[in-house]
Amino acid sequence: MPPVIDEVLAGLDAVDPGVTDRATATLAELRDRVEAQCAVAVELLDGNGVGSVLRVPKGRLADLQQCERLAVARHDRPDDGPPGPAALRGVALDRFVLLEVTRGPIADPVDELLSVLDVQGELDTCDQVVASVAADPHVVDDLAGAAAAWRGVPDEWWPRLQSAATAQFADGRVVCSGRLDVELGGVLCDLPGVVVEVKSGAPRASHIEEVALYALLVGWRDGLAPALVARWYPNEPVAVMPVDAGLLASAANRLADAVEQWAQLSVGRAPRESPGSWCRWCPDAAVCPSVAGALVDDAAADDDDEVEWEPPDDGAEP
Amino acid sequence: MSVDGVDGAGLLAAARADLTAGLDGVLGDRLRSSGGGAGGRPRRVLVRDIDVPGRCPARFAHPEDSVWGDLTTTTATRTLGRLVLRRWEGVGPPARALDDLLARPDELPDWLADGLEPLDPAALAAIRASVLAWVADARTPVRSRTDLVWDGPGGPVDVPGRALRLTARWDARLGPRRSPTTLLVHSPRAADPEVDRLLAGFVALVGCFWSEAVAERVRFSTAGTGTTRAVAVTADVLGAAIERVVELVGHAVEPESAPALAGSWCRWCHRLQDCAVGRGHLGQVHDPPG
Repeated sequence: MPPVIDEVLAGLDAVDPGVTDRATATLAELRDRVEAQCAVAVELLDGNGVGSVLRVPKGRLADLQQCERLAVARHDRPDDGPPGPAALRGVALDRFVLLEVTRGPIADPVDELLSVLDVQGELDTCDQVVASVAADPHVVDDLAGAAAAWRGVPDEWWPRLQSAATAQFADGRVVCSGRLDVELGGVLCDLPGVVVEVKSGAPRASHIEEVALYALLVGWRDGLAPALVARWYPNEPVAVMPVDAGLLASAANRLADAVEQWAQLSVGRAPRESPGSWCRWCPDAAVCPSVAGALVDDAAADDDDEVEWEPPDDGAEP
Repeated sequence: MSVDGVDGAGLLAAARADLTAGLDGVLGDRLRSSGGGAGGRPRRVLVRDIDVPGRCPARFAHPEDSVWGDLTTTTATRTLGRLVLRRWEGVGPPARALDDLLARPDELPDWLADGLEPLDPAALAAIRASVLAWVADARTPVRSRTDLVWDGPGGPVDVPGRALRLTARWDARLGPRRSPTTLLVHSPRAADPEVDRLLAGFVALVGCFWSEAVAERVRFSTAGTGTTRAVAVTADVLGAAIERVVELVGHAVEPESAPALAGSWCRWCHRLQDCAVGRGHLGQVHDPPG
């Protein structure tokens, strides 16, 4: 595969700067629209004596779009422990990309992965890696090999790994946050902004919605829409998407809907059940009446699908 | 330079006097730093900026024993990021400024140099990535300012006459070190007007011990938002912070009277196993068998 940076640059060549400018011009109006929805949500919370901050991070927004019961169950019983096997591959791939972008060739994937996780304080995840490697010494070698595609990103593009993009509404009572796998260029370096989401599992439609949300959050953060959002799957061409006004508007609409949903659930509305492949990792799978059919129907689904692992980070009441 | 029509130096003197009077009122002769007393030197009470928002008094009154662990991205990033921003001239990528800094450990604080020294290249790469992300994030909301000086407090401050230590962190200032007009705090904490006000007072109070005048304002930026919000430092703002410090010190000297207050922090609290309030909050209270 060609280096990721070459594919990104080719993608940027095809972007009409006017499209990015027009997308940027919509940011303020989109923010006002979501802000209005957040004001309604806060009114609902206050009217029901719920004083907490309403948090709709990227993971929750994705959960809400799949199934409200899944979102509530994952909030009630967050993953306190280390990531499971599929999510562990995602964690490992993120770190291999970090190593390739920041330092260069990976000589010993397991040792270097453990070293990075250790200094990041992810000690439970280190244990998980050690256990996985004991079962299969080459369990992450393919990911380290694939990450070599990230070698050679020039310093001029100021590559940032795991940077934050957060929007606060209603004086901080509603917060939407995301963590970007890779950011290039942007408002600080006079180069077009690019956001790349690194995925270890199979491509899914919801990944497009994730990068659209990131484009919106980065646009609000920087006052400038990124020119391009992209998804990178190991050993696949980079999936690039120019950021236009429509992409940002759809992300803002989804965010506003999620804020409304989560506010209603926070004041006691019963969650709706929408069964699907996500039932496989739902904490309520054993007790939810909708789940059985979904798992049978979805038996042929890709077992290697990535379940993204995020450390628990909020205390908003459901 | 005045705040609410009061001279900054006057505000500083008043803040120090109010703190002393407040402590005297709640402590009497306890925590006299000069007093030996029956138990020898009193245990020093530490009030940090993260203690100031209204969380659990019991947790504050029974602090976890501090363990000095290995350096992590969490403990290294902010200090290194500030040093990079101080060194970086704003032109070109800051990676070179970071590499220069890492190549000169004698210019780093001892704890940081000692922590970095045993790290292998992969761990250093993780630190490097974390610092560069922090630098971009901290710089974004103030990118138009060229007059910011990126440095923090010189260290914790000891309140004269009492075994009381205060620590607050800020990341940049406007104005001279001895009389800054603005202190900038960049952190992941989300906006909250009440907490902003309380923390602004506390940061300014700690700043008092490093300056000859009270800063006119404290400005907060929340990680990832690209925006800042300012709180003007008035006598009221300082007064609220002083009240909070005195309240916390009261909990520290009478820990058994400090009430438990449940919240999101319970999940990670070191006292959870012994705290019925926290376990109840997390739904972990079980009736004993039989």
